[in-house]
Amino acid sequence: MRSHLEKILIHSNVSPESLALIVGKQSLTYRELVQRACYLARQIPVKNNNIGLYTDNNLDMYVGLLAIWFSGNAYVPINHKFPLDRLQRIVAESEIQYFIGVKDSAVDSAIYEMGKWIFYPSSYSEPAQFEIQYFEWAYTLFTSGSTGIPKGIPISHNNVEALMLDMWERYPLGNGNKVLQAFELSFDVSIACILLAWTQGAALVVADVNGITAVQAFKSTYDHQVDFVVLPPSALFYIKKLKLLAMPLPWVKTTLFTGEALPYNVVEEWKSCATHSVVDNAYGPTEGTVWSLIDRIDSLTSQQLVNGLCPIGGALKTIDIRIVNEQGTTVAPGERGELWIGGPQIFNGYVHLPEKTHEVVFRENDKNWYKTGDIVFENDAQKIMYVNRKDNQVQVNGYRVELGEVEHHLRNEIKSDAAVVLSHSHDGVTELYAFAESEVLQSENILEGLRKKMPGYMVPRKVFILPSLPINSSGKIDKAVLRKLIET
Amino acid sequence: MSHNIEERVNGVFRRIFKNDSIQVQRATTAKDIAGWDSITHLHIIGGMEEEFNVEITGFEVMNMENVGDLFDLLTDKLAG
Repeated sequence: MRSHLEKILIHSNVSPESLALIVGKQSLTYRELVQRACYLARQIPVKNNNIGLYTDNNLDMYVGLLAIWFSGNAYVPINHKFPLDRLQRIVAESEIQYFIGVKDSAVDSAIYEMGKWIFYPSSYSEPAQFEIQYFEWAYTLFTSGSTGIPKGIPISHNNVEALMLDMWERYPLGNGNKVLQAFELSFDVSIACILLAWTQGAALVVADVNGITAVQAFKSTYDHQVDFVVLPPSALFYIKKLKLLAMPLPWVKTTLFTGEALPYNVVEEWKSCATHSVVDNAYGPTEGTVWSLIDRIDSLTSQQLVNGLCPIGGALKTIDIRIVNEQGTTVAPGERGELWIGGPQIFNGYVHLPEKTHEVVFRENDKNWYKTGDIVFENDAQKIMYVNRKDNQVQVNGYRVELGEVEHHLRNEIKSDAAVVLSHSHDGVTELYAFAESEVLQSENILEGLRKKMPGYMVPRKVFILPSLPINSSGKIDKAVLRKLIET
Repeated sequence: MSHNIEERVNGVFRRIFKNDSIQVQRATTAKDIAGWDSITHLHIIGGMEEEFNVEITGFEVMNMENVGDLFDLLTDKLAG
């Protein structure tokens, strides 16, 4: 099934002069996009391979992505912000021989020595004839592995198509719509944004991912009157900090928050600016192809929230879910358990990691299932509520502590979402450490407040007050940096 | 743009990046300096507000494409 690719071709025939892509001051119509992708695809001399796509985040990169698919290959993002050592591991794991990118003297020459490169041409001409090829695999993304070696997650076109079957029904878009793309290509939400636009004839508006991505996303939304916005909840922190919420975005019709747990007050704050937008909370591990559950967030009372967080709602139409206990038995409604997701969106397994795959993936009745490691429960309204990571539950002095709960109290104390709690074990003793952004509060005042809310064993040993929490290349809070603070 | 503003802007960059050899130009962008991420960007804006005793709005931040835009903005604010 490749109907997502066929739909892009259809738009290039039916509405060739409609805008397909806007990057800064440059843009491409559907005709130009497909012509250029076909031209570039002809330069790729291999088939059924992984091709490294260097993430310049320019107009050509999006052409390059489509060219890789049209040439019968899969893409692996080579993120220019990753350290060379990590990139070399990614290239070795995915056996990349060919790369697509821009020839740039500022790029480390070691990057160009990793394989053969196809550089974007200075001008594209229409290929005389090009037959589009199809490959089983669409892309491979790498996430951090517990051993420190990146873990490759290959996603097939069948996986992608299963996702899109739900997306087309849930979010029907067309020529007049503009979809925001503010994620790095190494984060899978990017491909959902790209396909939401291109398979439906809408324009993809790409935000600059340099500087403050959240601000660039806001600027793109403002400048181009984007009506379909996808953002991580932490973007609101920057948008608020720079007082951008005062600028109305009445043309935004749909907002998807994704990539992190969604605090309800983020929804309320966003709606004060995007006054006509519905807001959805989209959840999903990369292993399940971008999104597995989505919830429409209407007015919620505090009873409907868990630790101040919104529900993740219900499964996409091609996803089956189970909530299970430690024995793998389905729990009763309302009881907490691990979320398992199954169906055609679920990947087959990690690259070269059969044991890790065996731990978290199984097949039943011709369907793949993935054990997410996320603890959830079903509330009275039959909505799934995210509680925490399975591995975010820690034992302190023999007591079981949900870090999410400590974070919830911390957020209330500092009156901000910018709060993280981590556990740290040393010499067999586990302690909690809190990280909070504040310009006025002292750590002692925060601890005093927390002591009033929680038993002593739940109160962090120390609160680090930071001017801002560090963010990684996926736009999430960089916990590795915070852990270094504990260790120093 | 006066030489004085340029030097003070460079001083803020050097303090924030803890690198005395930084010399920003009008065309300098976040891509040109290692470690210039979202958090640093906020620090740069805060550092400029403190150094020049001005307020830089989110709208102004949104429309800055390079250091030249920052120079121009500060020059306008100090003249006004």
